[in-house]
Amino acid sequence: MNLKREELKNLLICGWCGQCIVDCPVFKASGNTRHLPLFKSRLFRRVYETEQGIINRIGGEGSLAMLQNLSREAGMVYECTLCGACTENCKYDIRPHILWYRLREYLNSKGYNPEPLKAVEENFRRSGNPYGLSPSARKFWLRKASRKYKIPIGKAETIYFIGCTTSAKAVNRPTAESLFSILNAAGINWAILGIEEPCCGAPLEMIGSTEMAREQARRVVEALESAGAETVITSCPTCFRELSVEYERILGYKPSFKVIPAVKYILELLDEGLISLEPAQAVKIAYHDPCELSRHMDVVDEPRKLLKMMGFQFVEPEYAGKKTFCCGGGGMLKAENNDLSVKVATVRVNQLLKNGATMISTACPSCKASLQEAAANIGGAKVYDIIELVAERIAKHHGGGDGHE
Amino acid sequence: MKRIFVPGDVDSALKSLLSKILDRGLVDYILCLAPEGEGFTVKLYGKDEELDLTPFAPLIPGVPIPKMLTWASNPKARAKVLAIVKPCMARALVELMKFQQIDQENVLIASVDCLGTIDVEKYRELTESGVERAKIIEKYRGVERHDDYREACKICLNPVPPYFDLHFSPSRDGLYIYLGSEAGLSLIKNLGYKLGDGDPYEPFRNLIEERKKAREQYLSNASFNGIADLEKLFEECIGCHNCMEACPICFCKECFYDSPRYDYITRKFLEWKPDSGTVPLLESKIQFHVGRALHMSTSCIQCGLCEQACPNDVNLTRFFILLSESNQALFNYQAGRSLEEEPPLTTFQTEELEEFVGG
Repeated sequence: MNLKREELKNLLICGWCGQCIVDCPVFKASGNTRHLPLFKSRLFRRVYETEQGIINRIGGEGSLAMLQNLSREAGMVYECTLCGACTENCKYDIRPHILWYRLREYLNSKGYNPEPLKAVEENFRRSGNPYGLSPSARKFWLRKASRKYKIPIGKAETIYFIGCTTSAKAVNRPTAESLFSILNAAGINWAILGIEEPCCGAPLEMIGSTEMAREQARRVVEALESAGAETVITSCPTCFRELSVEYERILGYKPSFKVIPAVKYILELLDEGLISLEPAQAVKIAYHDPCELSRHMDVVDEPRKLLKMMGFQFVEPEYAGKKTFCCGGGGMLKAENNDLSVKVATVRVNQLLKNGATMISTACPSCKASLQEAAANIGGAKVYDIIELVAERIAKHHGGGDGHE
Repeated sequence: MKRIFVPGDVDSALKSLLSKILDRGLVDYILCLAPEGEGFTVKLYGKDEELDLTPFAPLIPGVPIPKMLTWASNPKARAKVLAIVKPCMARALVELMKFQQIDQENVLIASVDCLGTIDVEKYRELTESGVERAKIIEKYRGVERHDDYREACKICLNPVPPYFDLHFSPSRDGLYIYLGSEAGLSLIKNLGYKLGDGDPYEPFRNLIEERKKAREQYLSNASFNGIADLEKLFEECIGCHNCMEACPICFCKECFYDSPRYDYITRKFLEWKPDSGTVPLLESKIQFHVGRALHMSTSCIQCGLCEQACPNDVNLTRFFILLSESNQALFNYQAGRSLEEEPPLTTFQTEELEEFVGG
């Protein structure tokens, strides 16, 4: 068990007060007590004390029943979106969701992680990303897209790091294409890494496969540095967090490039006057804060500012900003238990539409895919990534050398 | 009762005695509440480890010590451990020893004077308002009484437990250590302290008398009549089972109520319910609490940690104290009173309690 001093302290002082459960989205959707953050904390403490702590030292054999059932319980540890709502409510500031990463790491090292996640790991071994997306599939998409947009591949000061969730899912590809057109309209020098773009490695950390994640991080840094990237734009907040914060932790050094989420970058382009926006109709729109962007990376105001600049009638949903409510698509929950993930998304879509919004916007490919799936099920609103909305409203006179539908 | 006196301030007196015990190998480890970061945790101290323990801290956070000791699936742990605990937890240890969940040979019970503990949330409020940890411990350690004890503590009659091996009683100029058993006596007798006599219960006579009155009042004010009252009580229960996890004597390694089987059965019952119309069925959460109470009430030490652990503040203290009070009286049994008394659940007789079960 590989706990840092701070993490161990946090595990040990958890007072089992149960306040972490208050806004847990998975528990809210399922009602199953084994989905409670508290359950994981209790399990982790038992495992720790048995493996390395007090029970181990006094020479008891450890709670055999508990360890034998760990593989059964492991599934419940992975039925969590790692959204951090528990951390938001924790009275002891022990950052529970970081502990869940460590718990998964332990379960993975023991081979207790559930089958679907073993399959995801296998995907990584075969094709370097969680979806098993082959380079040829990516090539096919990019070739098709390049008929409409200029897509430079290779070296540039500014690299757009697309990310696997955007490249692999049909529902998210329009987001990437929209950003292509925005970057072209701004007339800056940019490129993508192309069909060899590696996964950022965040899914591996969520599975608990730390070594593979480190390997992946090295690969990404090497690819970006050899492309001469000074600025890396991400349209996926998970890639953003991984590249800008986690790499320093897992690699032990800070990569040379600067990472910026697309929403922030677009605002910069607007500020510099490189692009301008045509106003939209005053449609009532709700914004769903992706946990990775708002709670974990503190990007709260930028997307709101963009929506207002576009002239939308913006409505704040219940649970907004850093106190957001997960879409159900995080933490590899979709791989482990898709039905549960859709249940969480359904709860969230209902919250988003409660205040009279007819459209939903977000800034994350996972969120868009999850919310879209749930919204379609309940016959509700359309879900857009803010990047798509911006691309639709870029004033024509800028024209980036390509047309956009 | 035999006792020794170690002069000095309480902390250093305690440390000097405990390090002597560890140095001479009389026990392998000391298990005690200790500070960790901003909060507290349970720590194990071996020889030559810095004894930063805080047995007098007025709270029982997270996992209670008796519960942790039951996590060793083999109750015969190899190492000898001196567990320093609050009086209620000392009684829990006695119960668990009787159920053979903790090894009597290898675990020694050391208790401390305790007038009451505060809720973990209350403690957090205090620290957040800027009161230092040491000040809080100091404030609640003395004989002075406070109004903010937990509900269970306010009517607790055991500031000193009925059974212990050692008992630590702080005084103004030192620490008294009472030796409640042969094991306790043999632990201390060769350490070079002068043996005297004393009564650990003496300083608390008045307190206990007052508490008895408060307790009578408490019990007479509370009652549960039928399912309707239970439904009302458990309305706010979210089924997190944290009460069970925090309960120091609820020791099963695997719980029926945690099993998929229980899930299945209650769901099945509810499916049948609309068709039956004749059998009144309990909702699963009431069944959980009543089922747990059935197992626990004869051994319940009335510590109230179930309520402290409840994220939704269900008044479990009242429920468990009422039930255990009458059930233990029924068998003329008191949880944690002595190691010799046999727990009612282990002494089934074919003919008993006829007024309940019929002749």
